Amino acid sequence: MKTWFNTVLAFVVLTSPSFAQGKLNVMTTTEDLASIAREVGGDRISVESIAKGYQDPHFVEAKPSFILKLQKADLLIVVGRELEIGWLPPLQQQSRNGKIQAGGAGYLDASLGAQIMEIPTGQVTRAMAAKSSVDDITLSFDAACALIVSVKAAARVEIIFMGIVL
Amino acid sequence: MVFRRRHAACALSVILAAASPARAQTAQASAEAQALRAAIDGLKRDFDQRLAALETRLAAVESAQQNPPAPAAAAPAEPAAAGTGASVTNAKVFNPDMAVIGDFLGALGRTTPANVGVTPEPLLQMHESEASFQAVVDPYARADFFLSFGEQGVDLEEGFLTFTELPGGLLTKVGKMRAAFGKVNALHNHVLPWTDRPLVINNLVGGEDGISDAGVSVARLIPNPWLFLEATGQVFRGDSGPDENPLYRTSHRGQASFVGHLRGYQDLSESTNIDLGASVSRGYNASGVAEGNDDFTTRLIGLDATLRWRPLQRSIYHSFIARSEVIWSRRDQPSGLQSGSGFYVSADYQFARRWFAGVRFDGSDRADNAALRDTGGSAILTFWPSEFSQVRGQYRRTNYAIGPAANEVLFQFQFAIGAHGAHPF
Repeated sequence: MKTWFNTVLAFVVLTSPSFAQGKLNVMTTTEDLASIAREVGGDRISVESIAKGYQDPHFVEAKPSFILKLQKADLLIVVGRELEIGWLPPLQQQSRNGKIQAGGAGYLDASLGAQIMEIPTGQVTRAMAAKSSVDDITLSFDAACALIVSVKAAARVEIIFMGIVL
Repeated sequence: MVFRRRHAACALSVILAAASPARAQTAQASAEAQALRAAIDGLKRDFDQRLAALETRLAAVESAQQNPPAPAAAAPAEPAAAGTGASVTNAKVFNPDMAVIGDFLGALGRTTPANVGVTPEPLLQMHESEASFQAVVDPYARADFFLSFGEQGVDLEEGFLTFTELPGGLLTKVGKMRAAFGKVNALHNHVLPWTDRPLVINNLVGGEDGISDAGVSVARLIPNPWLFLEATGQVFRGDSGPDENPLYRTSHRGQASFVGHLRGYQDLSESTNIDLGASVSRGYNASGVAEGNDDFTTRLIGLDATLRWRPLQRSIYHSFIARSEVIWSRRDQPSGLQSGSGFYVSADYQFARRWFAGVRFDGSDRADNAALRDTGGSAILTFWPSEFSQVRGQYRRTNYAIGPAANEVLFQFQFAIGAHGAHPF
């Protein structure tokens, strides 16, 4: 019985796409980050975004199918600034993947070090949402920000590659 | 003498003629050097200016970090020129996410007769105020605390530590937690799609308190190429349910309760998914203690199914969720084994960004007397003024096994302040 179970388990692992291709698995929370990662990693990485480009990234559902993808991720790139706070933490926690936990070697917050525009300096309350919807408060990436993210992503990808090779 | 002067003039002319190209080249090189020197000087000046500007900004940021400004009372927010994500994110590194969620409930209409064994809801009540504290403990674990403040006292609804990366892909929790039995038992009040819990939960699974106890939970993903499959095993002290009508009660340490749950999930399409689960639970009940028999047990088996539809491109405007649970209970009683069952079927449709309509049908035997069966139905309308508050009305008709039918209108106001972490899907 145990041998049979191990055989099935080995078959499942060996036939999984990422194992067969030997590529670095990069997950991003949004499509724009996925696009940057593709430019950096080329055909040496496989990239997938959790939120689709036509989806509101504030209201993504934390589907269990994402848990399976995050479990195999070598690198998770997030927009940050708590854009994903409503759905990403449960996915990270349930992924059982220590690399992509906040602070882990495979966790990259794109907002860290990026120039953030229009940071309010006064007191911010939810009452302001009546005047301008909270949905409109988004982080926009300009070319410089994308460059910073890509440089950081490239460095992180290289480090992870080296870790795997060594 | 004249001859000597002439020769001297000729020699000088020859020397000057020969030397003029070299002098021109030297002058050109000198001009290029000066130009390069000027360019370098310009770059130096530009570099020094930029460096000075950066140092000034760095000093300003460090000064702001060391002496954070007091929040202005009612000053309008004005955009600042610059800042990085790191400088803002670090501000809350030592504080957990804190939130309070208020749950105000009202009930109108014919009250439930007191002789049917059901406590009627009061006209108005501040049903619950849930305070949450959530944070990462260290690189290996995170902690979540949920305190429930009622009108009568305070209770620890949940308080547990989660280890996120144990060997073997195990997700382990220790502390007091809601058990992974079915769907509704694990939900906090503020995420329910109704103002109340279905009859089957009230009659067979410990009501609002449910199976919630101090224990250890271990969950593991079962790898397979077809679907998301997760198995969860939980061991609890063995005390669950309200004091007046407990589900499980222990007489000694050897009477722990157990919960097992298997969850399967599959995306049917980009917009549609199905979630199936099977649960078992076993614990000791106190129904025989008065007669000197402390080994009476209660066994539960449950099946749950949830179908979700949410088109991604219009996900904030339209969605549909259908859910159902069926639960069987076998409870030892002094009068004999009581085998009962119950169910609920519910559907909720979001027809606008802030509006939801739903229906629910439910029925259940009573755990301690399976001959008594309650049935009911509800219609629910929910309005979200924002993501942080909701107003809900529910018409509920219940045919209790004893007494006349109860027709009630329940209304609820829920509101959240602070940062409340997301709940599992």
